[in-house]
Amino acid sequence: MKHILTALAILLSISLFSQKVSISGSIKDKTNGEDLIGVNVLIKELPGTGAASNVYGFYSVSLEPGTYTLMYRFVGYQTIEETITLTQNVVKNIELSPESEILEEFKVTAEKDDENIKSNEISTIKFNPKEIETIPVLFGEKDVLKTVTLLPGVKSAGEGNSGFFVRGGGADQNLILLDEAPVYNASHLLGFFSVFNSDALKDINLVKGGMPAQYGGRVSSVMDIKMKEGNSKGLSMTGGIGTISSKLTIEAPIVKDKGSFLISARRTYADIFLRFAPDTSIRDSRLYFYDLNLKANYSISEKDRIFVSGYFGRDNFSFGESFGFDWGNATGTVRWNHIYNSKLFSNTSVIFSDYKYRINIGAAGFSFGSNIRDWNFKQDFQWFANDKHNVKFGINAIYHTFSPGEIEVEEGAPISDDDVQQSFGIEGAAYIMDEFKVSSLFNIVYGIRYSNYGAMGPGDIYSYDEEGDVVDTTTYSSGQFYQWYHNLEPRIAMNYIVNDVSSIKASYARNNQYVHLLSNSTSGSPTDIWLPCSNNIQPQQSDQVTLGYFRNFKKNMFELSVEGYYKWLDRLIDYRTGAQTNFNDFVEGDLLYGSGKAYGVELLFRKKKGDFTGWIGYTLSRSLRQVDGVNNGNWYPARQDRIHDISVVTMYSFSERVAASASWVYYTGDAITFPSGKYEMNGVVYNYYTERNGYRMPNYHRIDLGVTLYGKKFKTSIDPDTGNEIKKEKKFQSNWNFSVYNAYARENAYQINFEENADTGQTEAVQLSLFKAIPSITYSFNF
Amino acid sequence: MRTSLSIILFLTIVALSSCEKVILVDLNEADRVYVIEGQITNIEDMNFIKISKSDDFYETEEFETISDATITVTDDQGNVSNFTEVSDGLYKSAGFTATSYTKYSLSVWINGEEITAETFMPGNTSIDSIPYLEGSFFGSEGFNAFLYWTDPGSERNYYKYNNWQKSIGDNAYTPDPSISITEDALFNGIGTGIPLFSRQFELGDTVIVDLMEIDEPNFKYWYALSQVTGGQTAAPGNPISNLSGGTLGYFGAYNISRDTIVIE
Repeated sequence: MKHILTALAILLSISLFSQKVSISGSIKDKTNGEDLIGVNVLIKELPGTGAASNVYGFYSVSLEPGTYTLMYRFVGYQTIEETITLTQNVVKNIELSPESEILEEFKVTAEKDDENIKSNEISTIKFNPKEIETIPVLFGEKDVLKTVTLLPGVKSAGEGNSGFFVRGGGADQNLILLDEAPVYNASHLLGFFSVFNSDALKDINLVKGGMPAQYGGRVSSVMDIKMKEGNSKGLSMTGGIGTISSKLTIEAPIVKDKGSFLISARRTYADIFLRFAPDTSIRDSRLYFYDLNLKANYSISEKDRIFVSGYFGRDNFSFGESFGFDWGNATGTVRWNHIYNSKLFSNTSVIFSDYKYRINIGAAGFSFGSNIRDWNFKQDFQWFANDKHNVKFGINAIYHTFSPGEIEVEEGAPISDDDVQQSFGIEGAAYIMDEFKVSSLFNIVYGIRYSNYGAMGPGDIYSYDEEGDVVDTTTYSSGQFYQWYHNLEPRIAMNYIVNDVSSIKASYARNNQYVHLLSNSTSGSPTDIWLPCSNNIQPQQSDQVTLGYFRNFKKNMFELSVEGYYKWLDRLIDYRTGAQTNFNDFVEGDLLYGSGKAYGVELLFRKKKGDFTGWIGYTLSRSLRQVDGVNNGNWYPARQDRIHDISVVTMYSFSERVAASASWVYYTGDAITFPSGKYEMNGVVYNYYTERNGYRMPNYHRIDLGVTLYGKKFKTSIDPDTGNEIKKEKKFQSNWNFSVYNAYARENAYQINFEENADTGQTEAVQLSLFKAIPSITYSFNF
Repeated sequence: MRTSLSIILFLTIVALSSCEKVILVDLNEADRVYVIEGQITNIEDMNFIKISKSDDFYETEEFETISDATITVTDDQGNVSNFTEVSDGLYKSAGFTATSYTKYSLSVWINGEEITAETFMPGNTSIDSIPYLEGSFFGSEGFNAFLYWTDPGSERNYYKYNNWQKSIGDNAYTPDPSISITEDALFNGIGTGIPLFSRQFELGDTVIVDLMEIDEPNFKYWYALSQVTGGQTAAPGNPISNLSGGTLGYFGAYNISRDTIVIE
């Protein structure tokens, strides 16, 4: 490990001794002032050099003094070329105009869209919500978490479920960030919807492997979601009215071009129909969720910019006065961007994140629930050292509070108000990484992340024997650390550009995870508990290697990628049969630990241009586990061990006003435990199990269809001088979206229960299917 | 908590028009294993040991019972009680009752093979009252009964409770097939109550309610079994049994407090 650090230091010092000047600035969208992420700034005279704008739209390029032609290039936008004579540091802020559809017709030779070949990002899925607008989804509710499962390597956690599995990992092994704040439970209504209202989102980035050192904390993937900043040019509104929910987003400048804000709200209203029910207790029932996204940003000076963003969401279910159940996340982020000089960009964040659920048994006079709360400090620097090195480094510290069981009782309730013991911890990290353009054909991103976890009191800390019984108890006082874990995580990703249309990429990354989700149900539930590392629970760890080949055809009209990966997982958590995960002070005694391996090949063939677009994705993969105390210690398939996974997504634009889309998915059924026999006790028949996950659910497939009808997008008039037709984009844009989920009404198995038929007494397998041909209509507008 | 969750899931699913059908799943044939139910209590009638064998899942015949087993139960003072067969696979011991705070060992010999287990009879906690009221809960009408008792503060207590219902015109009591258990983590040392929601009663019903104190392994056994049968567990398995040799079932000492009410 020492050698890596030394090498890093040498590489960095090389760049310190050259006399160069730099050009830096921000890059925004001309129409709404949104920061543009990942715009390529290229120097025509020096092929293979340049920079890309960061997540705040900031860029910086260092060059020898001289005259250069700079190109600002971004997919979907018009390229800007500027000739600049550099003698000293220059600030150059740029606004790019979107390439509107009419322009595209005239511009036959579109600029090169070969990001997938040139970029050093591997195993990364990027999209913005606009791109997935027409893909049909359940209840017509656009959902980034569900759309991402249509891409190779990402699998849905089940029918209508917004959980996902990345490369054989578990659903809790994905770090989901919303404006840097971790979101602990990303689903609404038992997973049928995700908490992300796509109208408020700007950019989604899912890293499946070869994570850059700036990310850490989960062993499978990082999904980095960024909210829009809000329109800084003028007032705009986006809204939608759907079968199940409605939403509205308002964006406006605070001071034009200096600051803006965004407010976005969404609520479902399925329960409104319950009011027409004849039974009073049903009439008084509630079943809904809402969420609220807020964001504001303001440039206090040329060099300083402040961002405040927040998310608040709640699900609410109640049955008259007797029973209530609500859960949700709240997150808040305050960020300060500071430009120290043209080469050094800094971002400081303070982040709050909270997830809780409450169950209120009004009938019996008590309520209970659980809560996880984080305070998170992040300091990130980006140093645009020179045209070859782009260095990022920073630190991060999270203070976690876990309250796994909180009880409130009214007087006289048959329950005492003893909470389950809280636990506290500090999760820290420091990283440094360098994006190094070795030559015009070879670039490498390498870095190292140090992470640690300190578990601290107050509390009684238990040790357990092999049977899970307490053998020893030690009491720690407040702030006293009782266990530390330290880890070094090397990361490296390389890209060798073979020629203009193909490249080979490879990566290695190690990740550690210090918080774990205890979910003892098949579908994931709001009552799942997060548990941190302790004297008993060690951090989960993964090591992943990847190798990929990327090839474009027909002037980048088609993209093909093949990626292989192998992932080793260690210290995974499993449960003893009958583990009690809720309201159990001794839950750690119910846990078992094991290891896993996941490997596979992912194929993606994509057409990005023209009236007909879409992709075919295929994944061939395995995911296996070995846990002492489960399945006699033998390896067994993980639930998400779906060997074949195919998705076909097509979108066709018939005209300016009509677009249609279809997506078809097929995958091998989940590995599952079925009984291999039965036995009887006290007149009741019970199932007899012989092996873990030894059976398969039936294979899953369905097709979703959608049609979008757009209102007139353009005003046409005749130019009085030239007599030519002029097309002008209308301010008010609207569309109707009609879709059918599972159009051929396949009865996909959601659950198979093995039970005794109440009438015949015969034991039988009963399959439960959820959604058959669910139609939906959504009206959307923006102006 | 589990019930409330399944109710939510149920309601949501109903709202979303789900569909259920019986399917044929190709299941392996597992080796048939012994199943022992061993219950000893402070009430003589309630004591029994039953031996049978597991079967293939799709088997339609009755379960095979095991006769001619030699069964003894020995307490920690060395007193041995023999259980003898009274009907196919059912064994009883006349005059035997289990006493509080005593450890019992079971020995079962079948065809030269011994199966053993141990259990501990905890103290007795008596029922305070069983009030009932008429009403509607989750849409169905009838009488709901509540079981009240006072938990001893000194120790961890584990409970299993059960009821037998006899409506007007019935000849016998029908047991409640559901597994009802609780522990004092949430009510240590205070008066507590639990609704007997697994069943609704009608006017004129006679209801026998048993509150049974059990030891921790038996509590864990029933907890695991109820979770597995709920159908919502991510990874179902056989509950960990205190019986040796991979035998299914349990051997438990249950300290019963019994009360009878008539709904009127």
